[in-house]
Amino acid sequence: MNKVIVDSDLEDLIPMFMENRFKDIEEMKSCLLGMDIERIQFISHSLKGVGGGYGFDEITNIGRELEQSAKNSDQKLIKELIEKLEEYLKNVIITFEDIN
Amino acid sequence: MKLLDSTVLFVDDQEEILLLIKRMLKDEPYHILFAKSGKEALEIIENKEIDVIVTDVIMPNMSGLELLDIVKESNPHIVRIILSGFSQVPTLLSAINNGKIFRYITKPWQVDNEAKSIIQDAIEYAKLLNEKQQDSLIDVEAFCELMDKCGHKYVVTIDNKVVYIHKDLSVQVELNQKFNLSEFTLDKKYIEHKMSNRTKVFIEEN
Repeated sequence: MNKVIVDSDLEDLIPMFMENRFKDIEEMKSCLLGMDIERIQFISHSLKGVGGGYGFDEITNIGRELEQSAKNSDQKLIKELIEKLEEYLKNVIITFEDIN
Repeated sequence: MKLLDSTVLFVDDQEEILLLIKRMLKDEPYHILFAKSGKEALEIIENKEIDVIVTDVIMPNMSGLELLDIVKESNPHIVRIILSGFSQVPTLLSAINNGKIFRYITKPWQVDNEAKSIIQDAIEYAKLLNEKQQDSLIDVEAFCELMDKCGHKYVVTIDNKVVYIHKDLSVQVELNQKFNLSEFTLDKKYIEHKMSNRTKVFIEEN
């Protein structure tokens, strides 16, 4: 689960991709404190869209769950999923290969 | 029209998605353009020849479906593809069934061979539409000859751009030179007739 294979063509884009995901996490934490659930829903929708495209299917999966929990205003689950995403991003092992 | 002459416009509010598409399609034999909103996409369509549009559904201010509605009306020859998550498919069914969408590509966007193949199919379809348009242009020419003989003053537009204008009208326009209709002031004596989905003729009222 913590290993992903990313297309070599995208290798130079991945540092910025990861940086943006950590920014997303910080923003969602801040939104959770400020009760801006709508913004969390927007960010999680974006996570869902962008994750799998870059090869990170788990980000898409967590994004999907986060979006749904935001729609349900389930703050406890939102908090857990943000932590899950953070944990995943900190531990993910990325390998680059020629895919297409 | 060869693939090399074709242009595909991608619309997504996420810059990272556009960057991904740009990178993954860099070796494909057609031009690619990008827009981060429906508004930006319409501005590009106004100024460039676009063959295929690929748009995300959920975007701020103007959704992908709203954008395709406008494109279908204003530029029906542009082949329309939607980028959509599986969960959105039920809401897209009517759009697919009524011909608003040529194909859909599932999100998350995997720029794989299947997606590339869908885009190439769309370009081929655009080529067919383009050939049909050439046929319709020949018809318009014959129509204009007839109108000239009858002495009626007229303006012909395709996709709201003026393509033919009667020689006696005060606005002098080179034949085939395309201008935006909004640049002209047609007084109310001209009556609009729809010749086809794309072609209108404005004829002076007797």
